Amino acid sequence: MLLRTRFHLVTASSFAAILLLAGLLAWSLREAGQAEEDVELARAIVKAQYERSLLRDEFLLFGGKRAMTQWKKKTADLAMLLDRATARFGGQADRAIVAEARELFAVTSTLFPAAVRVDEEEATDVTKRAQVAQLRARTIARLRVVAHDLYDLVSRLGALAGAHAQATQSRTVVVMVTIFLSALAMIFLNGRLALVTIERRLLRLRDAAEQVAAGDLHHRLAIQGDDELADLGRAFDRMTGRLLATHTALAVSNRELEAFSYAVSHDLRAPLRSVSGFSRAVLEDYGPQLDDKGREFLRLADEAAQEMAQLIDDLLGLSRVSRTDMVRRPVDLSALARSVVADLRLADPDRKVEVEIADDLQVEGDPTLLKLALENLLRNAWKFTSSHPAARISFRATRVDGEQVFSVADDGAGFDMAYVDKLFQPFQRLHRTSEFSGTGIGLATVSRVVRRHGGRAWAHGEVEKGATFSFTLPSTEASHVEQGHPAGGGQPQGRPLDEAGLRTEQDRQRAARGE
Amino acid sequence: MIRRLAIATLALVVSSGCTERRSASSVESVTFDVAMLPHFSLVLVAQAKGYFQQEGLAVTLRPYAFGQVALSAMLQGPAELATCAETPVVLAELRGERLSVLARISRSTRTMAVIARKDRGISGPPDLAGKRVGVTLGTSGHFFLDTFMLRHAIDGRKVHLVDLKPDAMAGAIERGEVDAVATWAPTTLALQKRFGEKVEAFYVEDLYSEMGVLVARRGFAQRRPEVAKRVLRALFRAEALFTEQPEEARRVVAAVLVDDAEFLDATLRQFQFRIRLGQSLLEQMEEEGAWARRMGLATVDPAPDLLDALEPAPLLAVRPDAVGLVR
Repeated sequence: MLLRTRFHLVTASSFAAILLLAGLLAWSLREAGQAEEDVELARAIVKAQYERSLLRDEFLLFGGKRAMTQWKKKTADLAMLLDRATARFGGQADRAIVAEARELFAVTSTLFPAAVRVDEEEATDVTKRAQVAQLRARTIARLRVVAHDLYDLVSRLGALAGAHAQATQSRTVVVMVTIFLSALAMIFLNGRLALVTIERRLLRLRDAAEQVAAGDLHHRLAIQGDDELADLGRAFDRMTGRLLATHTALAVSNRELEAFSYAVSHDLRAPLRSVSGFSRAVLEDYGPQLDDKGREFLRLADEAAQEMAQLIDDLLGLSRVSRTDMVRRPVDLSALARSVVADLRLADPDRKVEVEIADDLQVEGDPTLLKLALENLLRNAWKFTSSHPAARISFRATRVDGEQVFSVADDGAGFDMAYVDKLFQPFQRLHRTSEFSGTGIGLATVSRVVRRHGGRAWAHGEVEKGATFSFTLPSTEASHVEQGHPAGGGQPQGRPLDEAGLRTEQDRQRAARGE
Repeated sequence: MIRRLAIATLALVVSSGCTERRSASSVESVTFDVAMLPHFSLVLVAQAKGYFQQEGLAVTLRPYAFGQVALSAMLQGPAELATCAETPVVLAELRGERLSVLARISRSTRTMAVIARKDRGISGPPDLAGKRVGVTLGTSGHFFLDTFMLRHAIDGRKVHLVDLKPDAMAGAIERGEVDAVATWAPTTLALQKRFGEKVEAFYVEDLYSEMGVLVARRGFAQRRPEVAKRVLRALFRAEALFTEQPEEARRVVAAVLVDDAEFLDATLRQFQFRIRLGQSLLEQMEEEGAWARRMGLATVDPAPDLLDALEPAPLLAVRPDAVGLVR
């Protein structure tokens, strides 16, 4: 069922429930109003009977037309009120009381005129007069007895009506409280419905989006149902499927390209060796027969061939970084760095370089790849400080936002930050070869090693004031990420790195700031 | 009559035994001397339906033919409560007995009648002059007859009263020992049924209503206030049955009185079963007291204040709105 339909249904049923409850409330209020009218009627009956008794006694004591006229009017009023009560009161007990009251009212209505008639009789003899007096007394006594009973009865009717009115008012309060609680329940149920039908699936959608964003392109929502959110889930799954297909095709294409570049590089070495070998052979065997210019050309050809061989080696090395299976184990970066620096000092014992390496920099990673990265970074630092008679190089780690950041810093030639984006790209160089030798593969290799470990790398520098190259090495989680990189053939689970090993624009900005 | 009372007693015992007993922390025993008449249906229903037991009472009902004898029996003990009409209470007070009426438990205006033999030349009330009229002296029937004669201007001195128990009236009429009788239902209806067209019934509905009362010896409400309240509570439940399920209530009474159901049904419809203790009872008792003194039925002088014979405390405790007595 569509969400829209479902919410329309919920709204309609809520309206129906509210209408029902409102109807119930209206009915209760009407009942309360009627009960109040019952009470008023009962009070009027009690008052009428009371006044009627007063008028009766006044007439019996003092006589007079006025009292009799009033009594008759009050009797007519009471008759009318009892008629209304007969039509109005529906309860069993009420009806019984009204019926009995009418019976007693009828007795009083006939007895009073009878008592008056007895009063008016003129007895002829003593015996007769005594009889008349007794009859009058008995009639009046009887009249009073019945009137008392009538008064008691109508008072009881008033009490019952009052109790009924109170019960009706209580019921009205209960109905109002019920309506209030029902409204609360409906609000709660609507909330629950929204939570169940929308929020849960939205959360699933969000989690799925994050998983896909993290590289798990195999993740599928498979939301069941026939509403809009299910449609959205299916569209999401279709989109992920398309992404996976594209990603797979790209991975295959990348592997083919790498295989191709490896093959080309490898196959280029043989003819290059021939060029170099034959150039040297010509120099050795036919050097005396050539003039200086000819020997210079041959020497340049040999140097170019060797440069190209170095380029091919570096390219193969870079390719190997991506192709080699990673072996993750604890690595002591401090020891690795010291080993690299020792080799550098051995190769160049005359350099005065102050090297500071922090102790106990432990990580998890591939020792060979990490050594390759450190070699490139420290060798660069060594190289770009060569023009300074006394240089400083450091390798240390700091914690930034809970993340361990390793940095190799030097006070060498530095670079212009305007070109920082080119630093980690293969064959990009910011200095001429005549100034500093190199193929421009080193930092690209560093970037790729760090990326395979799930980390990121960035640089900060200033011309003639030195440079700092930083990288992070997330531990276990990051290793899975690199295993999923298209070049690695696995399933990526983290945010993929860009060519410079940077994840986001924010990273790039931080890198640009040298953080 | 004796056989009927015996069967009724058995029925009361059986019905009370069959009723579910409510567990009460302290069950109180009390004995009623009850007139086995429809006037006292509330007591019969309360016993038959187990209302007394449910209120924690072990009630023993001792059945009597009519209220005057039930009251006399109570005054001799050991019963503490009795049911009768208001007239025997008034006359007992005027004889020096000290009673407490706890409540009026019924009222009726058409239960009293004069049943007269047509063949004795009685076609209307004035024809009673010079006739022999059977009546149970000292009962509400006696006061009714006096009212009847007043109402129809019959000189009482010209009517010869014959003291008869209700169950002796049919024979007296048949044998011609009386020309008419004045008595209460259901005897009135039984006589009409038995003699048919041979008799005529005369009523004075407007001038007299008979009141059935629950009466105890003076001080009972103070000695056993809890029992008095429990009795009244059980009677209120019987009253509710008459209001809410009148057919069932009449069926129960018919079963107890072992009478012709249709016949009893007609009788019961003439009663109002409503428990009250009001000024009307007091004024009617005072009127009857004045009559009794005129008739020489009072033996104590000065006459007692009949207000003292009405005990509202238990009823006030149970249902205050049922008390209309001005005190």
